[in-house]
Amino acid sequence: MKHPMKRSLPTQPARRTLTYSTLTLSAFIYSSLAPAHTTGSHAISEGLTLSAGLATTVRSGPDPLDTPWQIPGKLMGGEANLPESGFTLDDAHLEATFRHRSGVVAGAELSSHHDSSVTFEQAWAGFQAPEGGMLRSASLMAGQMNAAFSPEINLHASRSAFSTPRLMDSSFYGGHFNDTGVKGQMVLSDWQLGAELWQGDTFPATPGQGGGSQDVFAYWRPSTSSAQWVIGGWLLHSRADQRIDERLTSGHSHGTVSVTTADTVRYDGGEQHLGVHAGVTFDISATVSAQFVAEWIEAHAKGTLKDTTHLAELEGDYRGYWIQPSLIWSGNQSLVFRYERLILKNRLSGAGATALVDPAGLGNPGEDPESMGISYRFYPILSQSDSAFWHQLGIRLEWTRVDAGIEDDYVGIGLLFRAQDSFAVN
Amino acid sequence: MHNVQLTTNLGNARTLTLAANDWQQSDTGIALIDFQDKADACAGDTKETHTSLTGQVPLASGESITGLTFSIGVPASENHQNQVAASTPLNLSSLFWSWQSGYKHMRLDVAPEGGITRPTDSGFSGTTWNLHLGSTDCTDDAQNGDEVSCGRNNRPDIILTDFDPTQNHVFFDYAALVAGANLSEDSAGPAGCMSGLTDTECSPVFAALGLNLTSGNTDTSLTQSVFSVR
Amino acid sequence: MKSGHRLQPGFWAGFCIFGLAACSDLSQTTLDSDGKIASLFAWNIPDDVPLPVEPESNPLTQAGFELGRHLFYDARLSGNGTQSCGSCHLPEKAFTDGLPVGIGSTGELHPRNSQSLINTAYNATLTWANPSLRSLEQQIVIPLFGESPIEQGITDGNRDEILQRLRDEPRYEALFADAFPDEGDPLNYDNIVKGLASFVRGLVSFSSAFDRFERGETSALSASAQRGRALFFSETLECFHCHGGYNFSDSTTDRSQTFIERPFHNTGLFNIGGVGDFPADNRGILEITGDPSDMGKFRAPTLRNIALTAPYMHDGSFASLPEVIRFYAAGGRNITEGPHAGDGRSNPFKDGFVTGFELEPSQEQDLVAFLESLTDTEFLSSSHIQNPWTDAP
Repeated sequence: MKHPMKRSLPTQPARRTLTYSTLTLSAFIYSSLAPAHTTGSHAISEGLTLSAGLATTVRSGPDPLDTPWQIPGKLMGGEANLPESGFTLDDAHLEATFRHRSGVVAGAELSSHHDSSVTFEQAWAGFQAPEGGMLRSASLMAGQMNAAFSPEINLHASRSAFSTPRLMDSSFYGGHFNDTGVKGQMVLSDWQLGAELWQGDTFPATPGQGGGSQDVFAYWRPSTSSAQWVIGGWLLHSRADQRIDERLTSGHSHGTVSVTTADTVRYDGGEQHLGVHAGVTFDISATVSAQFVAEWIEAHAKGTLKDTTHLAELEGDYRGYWIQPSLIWSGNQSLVFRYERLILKNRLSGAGATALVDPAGLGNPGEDPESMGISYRFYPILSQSDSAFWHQLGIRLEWTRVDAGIEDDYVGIGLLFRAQDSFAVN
Repeated sequence: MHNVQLTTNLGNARTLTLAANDWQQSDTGIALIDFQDKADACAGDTKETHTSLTGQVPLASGESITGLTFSIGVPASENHQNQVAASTPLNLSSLFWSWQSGYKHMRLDVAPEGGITRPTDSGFSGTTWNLHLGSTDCTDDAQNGDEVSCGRNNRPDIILTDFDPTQNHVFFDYAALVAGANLSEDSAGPAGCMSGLTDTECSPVFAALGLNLTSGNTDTSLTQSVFSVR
Repeated sequence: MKSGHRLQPGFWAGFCIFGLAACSDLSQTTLDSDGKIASLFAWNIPDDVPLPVEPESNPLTQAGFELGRHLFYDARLSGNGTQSCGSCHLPEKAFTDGLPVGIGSTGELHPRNSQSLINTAYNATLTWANPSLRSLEQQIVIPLFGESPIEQGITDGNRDEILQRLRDEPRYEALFADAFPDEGDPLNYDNIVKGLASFVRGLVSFSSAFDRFERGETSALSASAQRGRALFFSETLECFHCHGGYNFSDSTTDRSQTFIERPFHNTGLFNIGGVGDFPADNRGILEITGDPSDMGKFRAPTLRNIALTAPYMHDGSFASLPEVIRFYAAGGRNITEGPHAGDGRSNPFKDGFVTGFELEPSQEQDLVAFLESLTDTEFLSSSHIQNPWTDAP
């Protein structure tokens, strides 16, 4: 039997590798090639855990735009950016989590996406109750955190199947959802339940008075000997007060007066999301697994749009879904297909309706934005993921076609690295 | 003028209900006092004048009139309207103050002997020293149906005491009005005072009317010297 | 958009079996402009330009426009019968008079340059500098009855005589009756003002060479004008900040607007005594507001038909477009001697966009070529806006 472990870790005895093969395969799926939902790692491990990831890609497209990317028919904002052509650093992050046996937990993450600046993506602290009976974990934490309502929304490029964010995350959440707030969640048997209250730093909300987001989520993760399931979803409510598309506010100075180039459209109103996430991973043979994951969002926005002189009422009904079937074989290779589509319906009424529809980017000629892609990943270097320290290094080949404000297709080749180590703390 | 009230020995301030005629409106309480008969150098044919108010006031038995108060100008409620469709005397175009969407509250144009020169401009030669009092710093457009409001109302409130209508007259003293102004010279703005904040001729005239030039309101620290009871 | 690039729906129909009902449901954007496109008047403007505001008390009609045209060109509407509105607003000069400042019916000089009347229906404010003048009906009272300066010279003494002159003109009976069919005796000053406002309001033009170019007729602009267009809309020259939008003026309003901006700008034309002063009779909206910082602020006029409206600026300071361009290139005007001496470039109230720029001579020509492309000769020569009395029998 040919097994990649043998090549990647030639110093280790072949027998030992073989004995680990089954275990390694499933652990590998969970940690690297599978969607995040199957990991179920909501509890913080005792001690100090450090993890790091890096993803870089050389891409043939898309051609850069002069103006911020706009999906026709959806107010956008946050950090919804098209991937860049050429060499890009898609992800570089270093995360530390800590749990004292008293239950005190804390974490911080430094990361860089798409540009050279390094920021604190996460910095939080809280309390995690000890396991007991059916209760596998219960925690309450506060600070700046990634949202947990969707298992995939904040997956770093070093971990996700593709180097670029989904249309759905770009349009509904400005690329990713990272905010300051309070998160409470518990894992009870096969159930994960949680609620999050956010200050509103993240699109589609605004911070401060009249802004903010709240969400609740629930996931059920039953498993059999050959399949792991996840079925769940979330409800999110967000409020925006005089929200402008932050991507547009590259103000520049003219003599004594500082202005922005465009008369930016502001949105004042709410948005409700219902999200459903479902997935199954099952073994086809000892070395081949298959997955099917899909996510669906129904969203409703109601509010007012205005610029300096115009006003219009906006009602939007938005729907988006992505589906992602994939195959994983030999423990270190995967082929993933992804298709996604947005159905964006807007009704603008009032005196300013005609004037505001184009500056707001809401004009849709009756075409659903969509994209599809194929990703192949191969990890020639892969340490055992059940040890305290593990690492992996792989390559990714991907092809993406997008028809959402831009029409383009491009290929990318990238390098993927992840590592993790754990330390006991007295 | 408008808001004409008679104060009495019983301490009441009773509104004078104006008789309705071409110069007076009984419903709005607005009256035009007009001394200009155009018999002088003014352009146009001679015309009527209107130098007295007529109206009625109810008095209790034993109550007698001891004083008179009124405000100069057109009240805000009537100041901003479609002037070309207004009823008399608000249809007089010589009192239109259209650039501020209103009326001239007071107009006194005189032709000083020797004309008017401007020290800063040797080419300037004026014939008329104008006083146009009107509300300024007005916003919005009456013809648009907007509710017009003015930053400086410039409607002096005049309070006169020891007034017996059977014996006294109200005396208007133009000399007192322009006592602080040099009628043969103009230093800034239009010749005379057209209610401009930066029009230097306006300072003494406004002070004589008891008006604060900056706020456009009657200033209790100033004593008007133009109107008196004789 | 390249249609061939689009993902084929048939190819993806297979995914609909997962119960994705959305597959048959398409994105769409619907607009309800709240009845903002209704009018009794044939505006004859392009679809992408919103309609101007019509006052409820004087909706624009063809009959009102026609009455106004007769009044506009009728010298009997002045005190001494010598001057009509059209005397200072000539259609062949885009409704200006070619003079530095206007001259009233009694010979009195207006302190300001006669402005073009094209597209005044879109003006957020009227005249050069008055934030409260927002309707043509309010503004027209000023040239008719104004005394400082005297323009048409209608006074309390001659107003009845003037009405009689109009009554004596046989054409007016039908014109007034058509415009105001519900009124018994419509010949009055209120309706004269409404008629004049209707004519001026109806003078809208959006068919210059520039407009044709923007609609895809690439041959409408010469190569030089196209280069000038790029210069005009560049951040280097900053022209479009004040002269932007479909009417080339930031003081533009229309029915699509809920909040109206009424901007005024000091361009550094004067700086008397170094304290920012403008000449006494031309101080901009300071004369209205009394706010010292409003010194020298005037409304940015439309640049449509600008090549026909020389001389330029509120007081006719500049005789030609190249002079105006050089003035802005210098970032203001430095007057070295005389009573108006002072360096306008450092006027403390000067607009932040008037910072100066450098242009090659060829670029200046390009910019002039672009400004000339804003002339709508088709509209200005059309018969429906001309003097109706010249063809009188």
